[in-house]
Amino acid sequence: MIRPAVLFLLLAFTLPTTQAEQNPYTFTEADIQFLSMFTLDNLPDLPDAPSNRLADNDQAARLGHQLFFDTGLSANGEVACSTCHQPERYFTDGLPQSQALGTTRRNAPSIPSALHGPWQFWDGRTDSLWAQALSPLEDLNEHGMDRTSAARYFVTEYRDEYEALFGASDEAERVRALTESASPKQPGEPAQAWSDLDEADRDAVNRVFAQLGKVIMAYERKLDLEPARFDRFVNALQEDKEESRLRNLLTDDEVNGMRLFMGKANCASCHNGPLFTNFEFHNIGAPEADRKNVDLGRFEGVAELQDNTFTCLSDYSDADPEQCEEMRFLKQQGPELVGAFKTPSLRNVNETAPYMQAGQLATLMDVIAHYNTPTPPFYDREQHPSRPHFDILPLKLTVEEQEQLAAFLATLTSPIPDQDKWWQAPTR
Amino acid sequence: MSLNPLRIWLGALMCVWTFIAQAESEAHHHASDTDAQALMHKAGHILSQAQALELESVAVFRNANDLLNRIKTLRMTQRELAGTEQEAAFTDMVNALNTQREHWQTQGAHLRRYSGELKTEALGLMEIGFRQAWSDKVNLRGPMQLMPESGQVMAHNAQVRSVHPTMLNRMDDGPDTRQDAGMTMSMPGMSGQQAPEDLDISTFQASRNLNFFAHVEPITKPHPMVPLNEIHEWRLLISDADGQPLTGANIVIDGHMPGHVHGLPTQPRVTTEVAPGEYLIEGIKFQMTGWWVMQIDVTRGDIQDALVFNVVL
Repeated sequence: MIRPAVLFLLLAFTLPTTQAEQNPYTFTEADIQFLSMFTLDNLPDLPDAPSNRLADNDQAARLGHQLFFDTGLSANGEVACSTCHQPERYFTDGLPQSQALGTTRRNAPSIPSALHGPWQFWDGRTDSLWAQALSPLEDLNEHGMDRTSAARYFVTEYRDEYEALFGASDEAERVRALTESASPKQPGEPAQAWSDLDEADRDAVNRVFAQLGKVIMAYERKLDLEPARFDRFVNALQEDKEESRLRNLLTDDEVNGMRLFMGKANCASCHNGPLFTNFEFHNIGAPEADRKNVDLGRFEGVAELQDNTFTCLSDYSDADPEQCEEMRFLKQQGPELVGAFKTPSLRNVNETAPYMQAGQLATLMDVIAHYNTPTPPFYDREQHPSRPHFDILPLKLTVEEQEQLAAFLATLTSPIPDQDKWWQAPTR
Repeated sequence: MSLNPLRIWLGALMCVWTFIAQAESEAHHHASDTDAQALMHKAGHILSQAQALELESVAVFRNANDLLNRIKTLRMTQRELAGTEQEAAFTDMVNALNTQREHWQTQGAHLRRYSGELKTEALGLMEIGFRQAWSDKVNLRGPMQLMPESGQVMAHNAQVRSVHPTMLNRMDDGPDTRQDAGMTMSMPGMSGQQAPEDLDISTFQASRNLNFFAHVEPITKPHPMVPLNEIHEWRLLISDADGQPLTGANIVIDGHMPGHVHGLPTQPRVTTEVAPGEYLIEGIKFQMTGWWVMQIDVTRGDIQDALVFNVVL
């Protein structure tokens, strides 16, 4: 007679494949190893930032925190960075295109998951967080402040904090003496005033303006993400694989959605690593937001990078030129640049609707439906330099599978860290 | 059909056989040679023989194909002649032609195989030559490999480059997935990325028209290995066909993934000629594992030629 324990062993050896197919909670060591590449535990340290020597300076971060929430840095005194990058919305604004002085062309991205890539903005038109932070200040649809006034505001309103970091600099002295509203980015009077400034003044303004961006970047680098349910699930798998514990963390649908995400739905081919992004640029044929003024994405971003005053290679960078490898070896041409946008991180994606570069898709189910039956990118030979490249294939997911996928995406939400001062407005 | 072309071809084949035998015996003798430049010079000689054989094999295959098309037409006539008194003689003739075609097919395959063997032999000699001439610069043994600590970055399925709606029909299969041994989860596969089994992944290559010989290797510590998603440098060593370092060359680098419509995420270039024939390539980055083809266009004076290195990461 076969004893029950032996019977159990026999069953265990004869049934594993069918059990694995039936029970989504069964994971092998190789599965767990694979999944661990996606957890926050495996997020590397923040990348070196040679172009900003204050990137990891706590005092700069505190000053940047003040500036990030300061509506004084706008033409009408009502717009701060935090207007469109709201901590309670994971530093987004819930709108398709942001509303400030006007309406922006693109959707406001989340910040805590954007600290690791080499490029900022949907089209990667800046090569650092500090250069990124400067662009909206001068944009007439956003803060609408001219460069000279922004610099002057910084060294006047924050004089003590500024001098603690940069000393009583010549450039600050020069900027405080200026009365013009001058900006090279704003057509008309501000642009004229800018070209009328003498070169030393322009240089001083640029220097202070860059310093402003650098302290905001130091603040942004403080924005940590806490483990999401997905991370805790993989941690539980790494610890004991106890099924009841696993079931408390992710539901059947969520686990099935995770398997689809990594496999059949092919999401992981670009959305991979701890931040669920490869930091690359792709064209997924998202509906063109404005067919009369098509968005060329990375194609334009690359052109703007070469014309940007505030790159790693510029006079306002703290890096040696040799350290600016991404800029020195910037890919300047190639059909894959046209209409390509940066793969966004999927961390907190359930809380950061709407989606795509201009918020064209309202819900995650809309996004998944687009991937399931994609339409090729809009092409207009009058406007596009070449046929847009197309990076995705139909997925053939059932409605149930699409729902499971959406359920999984919601497990990537980190809790808002209530006790983390960097996620709150500062107390001054 | 006249039988004369057949005779001519048989004669040509005999010549080629003799040629192969000579080349083979030369290759064996070269292995004992120690002078680096002499080695490379002879490697070049053998490579040109290998190329000639390859061209011969192409010609033989083409003839076999032409004959096949002829035979197909004749078979139709043969069917029309069914039941007539000419049928038997006609059938014999067509069968004889087909035997000849099979013969050519075999000869073509032989020529191709011998050409391949000579090439391998020549590249081996070239490698010995490089290791002697640049003993302190050639640190890589075997093909390029990925650094073991590189996290796995997966493929994306970029195989379509069109906006025309009819292209959607070609997208019916959906993306590829693969499931590795010991896993219950599947993950994205490498569409169109099946590198041929006999793919030449040597880091020692001759240029297309045999003007230049070259070696590439990553300059990384502690071993020359390719990191993933990280900008790094390569060393490029180039000699002319006589094994002399090629100085002052103009070099353009391009990389792409077969089956995917995209290239490298950066634009690498030669930044300096460190020593005669030794060039520093900076700005190389691979964002994906898989099969990469690195093409290096070399121009020196009036001579333009292309080097191709296959890299499988």
